[in-house]
Amino acid sequence: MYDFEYLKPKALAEAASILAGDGDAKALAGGMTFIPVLKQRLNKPSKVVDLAALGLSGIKVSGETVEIGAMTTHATVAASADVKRAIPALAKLAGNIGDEAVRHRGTIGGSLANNDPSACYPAAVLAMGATIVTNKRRIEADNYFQGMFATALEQGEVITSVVFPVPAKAAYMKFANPASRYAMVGVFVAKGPKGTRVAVTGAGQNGVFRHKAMEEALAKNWSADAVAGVKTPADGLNSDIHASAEYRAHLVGVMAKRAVAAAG
Amino acid sequence: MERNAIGQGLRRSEDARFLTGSGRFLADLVPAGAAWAEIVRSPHAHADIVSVATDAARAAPGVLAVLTGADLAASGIGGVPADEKLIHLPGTPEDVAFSFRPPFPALASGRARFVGEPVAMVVAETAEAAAAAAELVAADYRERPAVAATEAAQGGAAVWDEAPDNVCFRWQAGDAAAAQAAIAAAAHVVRLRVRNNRVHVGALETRGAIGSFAGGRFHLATGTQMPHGLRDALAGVFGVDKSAVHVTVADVGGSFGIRNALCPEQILVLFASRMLGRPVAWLGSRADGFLSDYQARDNVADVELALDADLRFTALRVRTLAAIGAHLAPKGALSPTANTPALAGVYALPAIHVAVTGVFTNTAPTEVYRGAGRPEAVNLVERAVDHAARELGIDRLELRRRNLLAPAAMPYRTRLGLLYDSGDFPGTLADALARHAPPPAPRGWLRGRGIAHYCERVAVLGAENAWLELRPDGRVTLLVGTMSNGQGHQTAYAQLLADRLGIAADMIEVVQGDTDRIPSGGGTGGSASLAIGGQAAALAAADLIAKLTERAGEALEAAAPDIAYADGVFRVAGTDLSIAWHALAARLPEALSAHGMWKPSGPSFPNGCHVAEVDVDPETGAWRLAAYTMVHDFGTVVNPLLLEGQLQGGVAQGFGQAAMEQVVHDPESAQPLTGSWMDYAMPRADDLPGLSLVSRPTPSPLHPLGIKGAGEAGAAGAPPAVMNALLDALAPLGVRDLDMPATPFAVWRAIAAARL
Ligand SMILES: Cc1cc2nc3c(=O)[nH]c(=O)nc-3n(C[C@H](O)[C@H](O)[C@H](O)COP(=O)(O)OP(=O)(O)OC[C@H]3O[C@@H](n4cnc5c(N)ncnc54)[C@H](O)[C@@H]3O)c2cc1C
Repeated sequence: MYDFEYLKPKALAEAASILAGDGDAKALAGGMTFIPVLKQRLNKPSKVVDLAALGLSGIKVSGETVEIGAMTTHATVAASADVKRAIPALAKLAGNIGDEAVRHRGTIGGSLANNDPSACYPAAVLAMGATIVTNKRRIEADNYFQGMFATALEQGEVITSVVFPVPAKAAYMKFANPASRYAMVGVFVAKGPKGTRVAVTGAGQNGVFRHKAMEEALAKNWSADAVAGVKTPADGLNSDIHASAEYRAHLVGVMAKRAVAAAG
Repeated sequence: MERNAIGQGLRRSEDARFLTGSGRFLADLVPAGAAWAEIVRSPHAHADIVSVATDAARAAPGVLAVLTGADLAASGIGGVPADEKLIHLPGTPEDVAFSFRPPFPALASGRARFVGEPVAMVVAETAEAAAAAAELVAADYRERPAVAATEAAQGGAAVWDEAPDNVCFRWQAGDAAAAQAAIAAAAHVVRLRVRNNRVHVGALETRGAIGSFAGGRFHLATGTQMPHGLRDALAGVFGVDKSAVHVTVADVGGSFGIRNALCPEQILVLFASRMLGRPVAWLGSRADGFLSDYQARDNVADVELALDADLRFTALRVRTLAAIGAHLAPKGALSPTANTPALAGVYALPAIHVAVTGVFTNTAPTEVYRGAGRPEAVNLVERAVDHAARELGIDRLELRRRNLLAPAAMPYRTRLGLLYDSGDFPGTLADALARHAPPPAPRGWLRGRGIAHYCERVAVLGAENAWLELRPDGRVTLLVGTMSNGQGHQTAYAQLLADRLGIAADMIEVVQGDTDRIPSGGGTGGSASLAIGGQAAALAAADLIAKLTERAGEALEAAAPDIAYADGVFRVAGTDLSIAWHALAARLPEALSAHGMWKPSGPSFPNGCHVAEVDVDPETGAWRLAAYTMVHDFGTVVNPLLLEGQLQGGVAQGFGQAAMEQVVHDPESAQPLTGSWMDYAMPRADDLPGLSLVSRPTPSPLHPLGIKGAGEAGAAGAPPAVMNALLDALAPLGVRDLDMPATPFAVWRAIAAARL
């Protein structure tokens, strides 16, 4: 780990101004991704700005939306009675991220800012058409994810919360990577205020993506059979030691079918 | 806990320390004032080292020294020493020898031969300064073609110019002519290629070493299974007398064979500390471990099993390619040769021949790992038996029953020279099947069952000594040269001695891991500690009681033969004269010593039968272990809880190898692709069902206490049991072959290939 200055501001404006004023300053949320990177000397920040004292955690449920503060841990989301009632698929997704320790440190904001191509939350955000709220603006999911580890966030921009429109039906099916247990393929299907949407994580070379062919099939006929008939091309999917692009394409089909069946 | 302590499930006395963070692992032992080392490793699998520029690193803040291979060579320091001779078994030619035994300097010079090979070492005031300066070491490499796959070694780029065909050794055992004749005459011959995947052991505690030099003596604190063996090896490396090397070992977070052997960093810290006149600590990171720990297994074997018209086995012939890695590690040739007798399995096999070619590749050296060749051999035989049953259309159990050695055949000498002393293999199989009670399979999943027998030769390391010291306070210290790496020796020895001495286990202190305090030691390996060290301790206990009986005679003014000891009291027969343990100890002018030595006349043969039940999701290739039963014979069980721990861990490791573990290299560049837990899959608790472990002990006839070794059996039986279960489940889909690790991807590909 290289030396850096550790700061824990008490106000969002202060955190944002430190981050905006110094291109080498970095935000710290749960640290589940960031701290290993620091320990391996793969990142050399000038300042590490801990977001823990900004009051960014908490869950608010209205009739139509669930708003989750950026610093809310996966464990909190998984255990939340409100989330379980409004969007059970989201609580379940959070409860299957990593292990107990990761779930008690890792946050939804950290996960979305990082946008790991195998992370679970991006699939939920994209499939439900959620809105990423930052200290500056509101970003629609469709505009937020911009490829592997790339997002619409600007330097110094801090995610403050995520607003999910409550869907009528939703489910997430994850096929875990045998080593990391991140999603080797994860498919989130949703039918709700933002339409019928299918988002795939873990499989695409550019990170999470919407599966338009499946969305069309499901819009016409919300059934497992409808997606089972949709072929997913292997082009543009990841190939690595754990799975070929063809295998991932196949798994997208199976996970989608099972997700629709689970969503009812 | 007093007499009859043997057999009780005593809880581990070390666990309170481990579970509350008060264990003393290597990172807890770094002395004040120590300098810190960081290793610069080759980023290339194969490259000429044109130059190593160290000026910038030397000039960095806090840097005390930067060492390269040239510094070691200039000081005449030897490299990591490997075995000089190959083992001789029946049928091994007299003149068998290594084709090429390469040097293994602690820092590469001239050529780097695997990614992670140490090229330089930076020593600085702090770990951070060492890490920062290591980035300033500028090595200039000229890349060379590399070879990664064992099957590609012969004919691939030469790892060593001296071995253009990449052959380290060619070795054989058994009767080639008899096997050939039986195969030629056989009614059926089934053939199978079995790959035994390369594994990274990944012990909980990463590797490390703390070296110091004072008063003309080296002191190395490190993790090892064999402190005395390590001491002797280091004395050789530095060209000093054994008495000039002191090795100490505190708590160790797992070894499984991988810490048996000397490794380069242990040489480097000692060298640097002598040079700098202060202690030097190297605490390897997980990334260091993934690249440079000795790895294990990695064989490709062609198996031929010949059967007569009644489907009785007539011959087994095996040709194995065994990966040695880029260097020959100290015991790098042992697993594929010395433990091939396990090929005889539990069957009547009239002819066996095995030929092994050890090959160099641009990969980390391989070493012994839990079972050290026995799991590899057991996997071959048990896979071949199931394969034969499927190919020949006979029930697997029926084929086994026809070929299993009967209890009446005992003692039985196998064609590879072992003398099985006992064993009821048909009975073990019957028990295993009777006790195996899997839950119903989920709908739509394919159910499969796999069976694997094993019969291991263990506890063959040689002699072990044990010393006891009774102090006037009545407490006893055991000094023994075996070394716990987490197995629970402290508990097991104390329990055994409590039984023998008739005092409470918590009055017994167990000391291991100090080559100054403990005069000699064979060390821990081959499931030998309790079987050999335990008996040495038992003999030392008898010696102590004999000596105390003399003292009791003096105290009670009676003749020693008239005194009997029981339950902590020495009594004069036929009188009410007696003296208790504590009272007698209190009369001692100084500590009373006793000694025991045990050298078994032969190995012991723990054996058993594993049954695995798997469920496969045919749509995705995912599968899970639904149930697992192991019926085992380890002779006398000293502590059933410790035994269960050994079996749980062993089965988990065997399952891990079958299901998911594999070191993967890029086939072209030989770059490792599994450099962290993100890509190297290790089994987790929720991957395994509760194991059904059934003890069926028959005491070892060669051992006074009847103990057989138990440390490695789980890892030996699990891979073939699991693979046979998967192949059973997939048989209806036409799948006939599947290699380890059977990842979902591999299973899916096998299903897809069978459909074509
Ligand atoms: C062993 C393990 C297993 C895991 N398994 C899974 C899994 O199965 N599925 C899955 O989805 N994830 C998984 N993760 C990732 C985990 O869920 C974390 O969510 C993720 O590591 C990032 O969250 P964090 O809060 O720890 O962020 P940090 O590591 O603190 O930060 C990550 C990045 O986001 C930036 N950042 C953090 N918060 C904000 C913010 N509010 N605004 C702007 N930028 C911000 C940081 O600067 C940093 O660059 C796993 C992680 C580990 C260690």
